[in-house]
Amino acid sequence: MAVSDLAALVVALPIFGSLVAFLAALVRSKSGWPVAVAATAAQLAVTVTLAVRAFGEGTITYVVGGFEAPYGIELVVDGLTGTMLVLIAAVSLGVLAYARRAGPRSNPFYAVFMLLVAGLTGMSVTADLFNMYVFLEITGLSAYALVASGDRGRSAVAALKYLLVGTVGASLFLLGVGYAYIDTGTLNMADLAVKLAANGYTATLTQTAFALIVVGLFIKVAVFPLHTWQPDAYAGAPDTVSGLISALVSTVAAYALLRVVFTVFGTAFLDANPFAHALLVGGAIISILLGSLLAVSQSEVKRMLAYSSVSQFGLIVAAISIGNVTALTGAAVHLVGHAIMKGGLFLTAGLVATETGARSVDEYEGLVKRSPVGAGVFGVLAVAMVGVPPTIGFAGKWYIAVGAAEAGSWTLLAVIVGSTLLTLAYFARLVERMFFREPTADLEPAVERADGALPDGGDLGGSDPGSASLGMYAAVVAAAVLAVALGFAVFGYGDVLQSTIEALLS
Amino acid sequence: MTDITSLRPLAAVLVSAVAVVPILASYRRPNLREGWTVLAAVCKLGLVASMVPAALRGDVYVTKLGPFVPYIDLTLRADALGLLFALVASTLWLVTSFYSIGYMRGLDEHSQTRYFAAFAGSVSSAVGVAFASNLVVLYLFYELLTVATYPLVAHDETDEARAAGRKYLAYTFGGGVAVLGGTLLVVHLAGTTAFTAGGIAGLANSDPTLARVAFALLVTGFGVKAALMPLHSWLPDAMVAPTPVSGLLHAVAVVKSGVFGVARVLLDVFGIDLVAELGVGGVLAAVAAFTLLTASVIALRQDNLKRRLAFSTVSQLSYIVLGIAVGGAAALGTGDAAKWALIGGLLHIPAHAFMKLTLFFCAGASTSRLTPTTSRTWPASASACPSRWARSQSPQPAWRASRWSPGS
Repeated sequence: MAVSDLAALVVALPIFGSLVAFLAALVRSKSGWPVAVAATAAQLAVTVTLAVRAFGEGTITYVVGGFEAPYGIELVVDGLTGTMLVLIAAVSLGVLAYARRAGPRSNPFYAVFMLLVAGLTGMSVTADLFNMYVFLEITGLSAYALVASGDRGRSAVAALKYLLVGTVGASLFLLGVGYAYIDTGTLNMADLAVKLAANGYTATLTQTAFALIVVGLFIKVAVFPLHTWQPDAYAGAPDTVSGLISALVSTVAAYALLRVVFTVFGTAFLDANPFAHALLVGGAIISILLGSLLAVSQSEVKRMLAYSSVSQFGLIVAAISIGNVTALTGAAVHLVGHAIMKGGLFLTAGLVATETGARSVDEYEGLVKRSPVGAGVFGVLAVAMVGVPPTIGFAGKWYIAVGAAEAGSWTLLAVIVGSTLLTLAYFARLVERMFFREPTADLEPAVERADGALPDGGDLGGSDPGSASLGMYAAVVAAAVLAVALGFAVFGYGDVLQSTIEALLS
Repeated sequence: MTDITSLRPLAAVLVSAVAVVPILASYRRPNLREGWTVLAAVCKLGLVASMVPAALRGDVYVTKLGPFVPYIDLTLRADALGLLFALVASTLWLVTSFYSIGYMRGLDEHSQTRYFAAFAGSVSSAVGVAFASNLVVLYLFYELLTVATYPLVAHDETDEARAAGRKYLAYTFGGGVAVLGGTLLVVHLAGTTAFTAGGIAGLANSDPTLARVAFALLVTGFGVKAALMPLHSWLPDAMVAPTPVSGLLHAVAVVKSGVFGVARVLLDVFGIDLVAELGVGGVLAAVAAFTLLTASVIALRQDNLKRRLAFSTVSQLSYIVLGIAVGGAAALGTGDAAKWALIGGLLHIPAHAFMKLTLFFCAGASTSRLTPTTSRTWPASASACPSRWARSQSPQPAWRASRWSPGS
């Protein structure tokens, strides 16, 4: 099998896994988890192989069905894609380790879980704009279903809101793709880039296509003020699901934004259209500032973390608007870093709720005595998120800030550097409550169980409800360790990524 | 001057950070836990001291850990200035460890494990600040120092302590943001932030306005921990921390990391010639002089003994900054004047450290034996406990006054 075939396998494998997880329920209930673990582990192996090849030997291209581009669909794996692929597989595996005890446990859940992985992977590898829309919808639909898998009414309402807003986003994206197609008659990204340039960047169709696609993706990324689905979805979803989607869904949408802005439209388009640049800069600044302010005012921990994401993705959009090698390397680093930190934080919030029942900021008082591991990991991840060196949170911010300085964007530089204090504002009050207050009220440890909603749910191994499993601890501790350790690996990563980014910008 | 590649600077930084793990792990056995603290303190002092002969010869121990982020290498250099600070911090940590043990046990304080772990982490960060070879590594340890000392400030877990902790975080992280901004500007202007004796060459040829902005940001950022007015108000509030913390961290390690940062910025980033040329040395000297006088006047009016000492610290730190700034302001063509001002300023780093630590130890000894006092009630305490009063008047090894001393 040629290496390029792996690019197709990497999409097919999770779809196949999803199918098997679904069918396995016919044989035996609760068999979804092992299937999902096996498929994801295989996925991780394949993606690592692909990433290593992509970094070592350059871009890998696969032509689907033998229809050559620009007519057929191409799958392309470069350094950036490889990064996302490995991230998706690794985070999914970590979340699965967590989900073993935390649930939900039904086979349909794992079938949808694998479908989400397939959608995210597809969005990353595809080099065709319409194909990207298809995977965007697969991702979206499976994410709505996962959010709705909680057994509370709140999950259902959150999923409905997510569905409505998310569909608007996807529709805008599709509309933009349509305009670009009318303009050029092609959907292949590389071919689009050539033809859009030939048409001239100030053509109204081109400008409209850009605006629609970017705003559509802004909704998926949850850029302020298009973020409203996100806090509800993250807070309403089961803990396992919030961990997964907070780490991956917006991340891959931001990757798609980066891909579309630079591969399809290119820096020359941004230079020719001040409004396009202003759209990105404005979205970035408003998200960073207002996301943080909203986070400070939240009383529920998961909602606070959700608003924190709004702010952090503002940083990514800022990096895209700066658009030089350093800033985009920073965007890649921060996408990975944020996924690990935020996914870890959501899983930790779930772990804490399992052990102590605490879910609101006030209930976190004195947490260190009731859940030492939870409080410790939360503390480390919060510090990383604030951007204290040498964590990966600092590294990403440093790259983006240096990029801003290189480009002479002083306003953005001030906002990026100042965002440290805003991030501190919402994490400090939580850290203070966890470590420097006595617990006030006794809370009932409340395991979030799928039993009520899913007839084939139930307890595994008969453990008592208030205890977290080894897998849950392992997942959150791994996130904390990675958040610190990866900070030291960033420079080497930036080095190997450089050629990819340079190709992207040329 | 030759560079000696060695892991010694790294080991000196890490030894107490590594000790955090066994300290936390032996939380059930206080004697073992404190044993780790003492062991780490002795090792640290030994490691730092072992680099002194080389420094006196003019050689520098260097640990190179490769590139960290663009433009920045993760390198530790134990040069003379750094060793001065590291030696002060690690010597006094050993002394303070014994004092802490007596103090914490004497007062039967809660969360002692957290206390000793955070203390070890703080000292690691302080020595990291000392051995940093460029602004980013300095920033790294500067921020870690904030994180590691926060648990010590908020230790009491009272509303007052938490408020002080919040203020501390807001001020010092705010300063950290200014340092980060200034560092980014220096990277932008010069392409490097590596400390160079006499200043980074690239800065001298850059846009003077941006260079001034970078200087202002860096000095403001480090000025927070150096407690330059009007950025000082976290320090008196932080006195709610246990006395050994006030002694070692808020009179020596933390505040001097700020002063040390200012010194690095003036001497090794901009260089005193450039500072004089930009005309910023005079401004800094004026701020320092103002702080020096005002803080002393305020100290006169403080009833709480530790707050009085804190304002004295604010004032004394400005002596150091003043010396460095005058050195910078007067650099052009004034011969020895600049040199003496610098030496005087830097000499005051260890001098003030020893004096103020002893004063805090005395204050703490009275607190642990008697009820916490204001300075107005001290004569009364003196009559209640004459021997201790007498002892606290002279700087004896203060741990003797803790519970290990005869009669307690």
